[in-house]
Amino acid sequence: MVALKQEPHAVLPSATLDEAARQAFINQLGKHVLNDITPGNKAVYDKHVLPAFQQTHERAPADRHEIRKEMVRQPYYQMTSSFQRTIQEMMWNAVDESIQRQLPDLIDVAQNIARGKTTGSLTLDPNFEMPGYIKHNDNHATPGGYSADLLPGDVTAGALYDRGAFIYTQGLFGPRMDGIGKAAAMMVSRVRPDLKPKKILEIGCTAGGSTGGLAIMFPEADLHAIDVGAALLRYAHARAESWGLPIHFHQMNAEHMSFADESFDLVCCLATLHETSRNATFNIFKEAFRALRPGGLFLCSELPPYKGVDPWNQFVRDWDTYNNNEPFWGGVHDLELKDVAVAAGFDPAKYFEGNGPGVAQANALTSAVEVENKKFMGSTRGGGQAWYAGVSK
Amino acid sequence: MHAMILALATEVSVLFDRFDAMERILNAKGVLTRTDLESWQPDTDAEDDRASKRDALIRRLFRSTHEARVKLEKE
Repeated sequence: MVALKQEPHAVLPSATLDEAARQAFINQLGKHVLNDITPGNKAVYDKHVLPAFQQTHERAPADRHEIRKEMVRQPYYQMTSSFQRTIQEMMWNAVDESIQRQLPDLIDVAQNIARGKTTGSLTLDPNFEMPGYIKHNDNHATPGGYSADLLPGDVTAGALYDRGAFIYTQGLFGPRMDGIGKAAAMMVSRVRPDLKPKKILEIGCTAGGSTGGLAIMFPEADLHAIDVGAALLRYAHARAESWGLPIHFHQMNAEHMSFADESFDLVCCLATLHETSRNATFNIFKEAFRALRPGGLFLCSELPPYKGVDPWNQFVRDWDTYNNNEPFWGGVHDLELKDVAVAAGFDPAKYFEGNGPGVAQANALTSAVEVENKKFMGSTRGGGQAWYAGVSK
Repeated sequence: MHAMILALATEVSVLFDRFDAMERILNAKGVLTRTDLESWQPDTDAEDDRASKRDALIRRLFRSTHEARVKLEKE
């Protein structure tokens, strides 16, 4: 078994002996529940819930909602769901404690980097209006979510995401958390081999993990990245600079960006749509259309939509919607993104969707290590293929 | 049940305090400094070994849950 280690950088929170032990144990605890305990719910469904439903209604459950209403009453499901949520909170708390211990130092380092000679840039908006769907939710139970800005120069949100998500995905996004970005770049080469993007925008860059992947795969491009949280962006900027990745970070709402019309060749929105609202998704597509040059590409990656998936597996994948502060998760998976693209002005003939390179293939680009990917119930924590929706202008 | 968890937490804290006492004595005698201990990083083998032991602990922890699952699946 290969231990997957996160690659250090200037603002990566360090872990004391005890913190590392705590985080490692919680990580393995979560893996065990997901792999060995939660799957027992299938037997609960097959042997108890489904027969009882059929007896009462003289039909099988029509959708995942009918299944969920029965499953939440099952003791085994209540137990596994409670374990998953509890472990999620424990993981964030373990990382958060570690960050708070060293926060003044992390802030110092980030500020020194920002004041020094940089290859990229950081542009924050002092008058920024946080969208409600971010402000009022701690996405995937992160304390403070994406929007918390606790004190001057704060980087907590970025540090939480960078370290916490590494643990949460069990290192499967790669030591630099850039697997999603690299995989997206591979997808661009596959669907638009003609496209050599000179100017790239990433929407929803969070701590800059996937942005780093784009930077490495498109080293000649002028790379811009936006997100809503100042504490995310300060962290992302310091992180990118310490690795010499020239990325321009901006605090912006993707629903109304200040970039000029037709200014980008490639706009990426990777694992971001499910963190926004349904309305916001429509607006983001409109903005992507506006910001793209003719011939450019708008590429989204997400977990696969629910269409064509049987109700049981839809129910399994929908856990986060109800239990992990991801209220828009289910909705986005029900959306027909082609319709959203057309509403935004894109040509439906240029729209595509389907499976593409995932993080495992992306990791294999730079590492000889074959990462073993297990199927997880609930959301995907890395592994397998990724799902893409894209459209050229 | 609550009383049992609180008693367990208390005994864990007692263990910590005993470890702490040992670390202070070892540090004072120069046998094992706090710095060496806190800065220690496992090599790959040690990391794998420790991860295996954690997994073993977790399996023992969830033994009865696992048996419940097996029972469900055998029905």
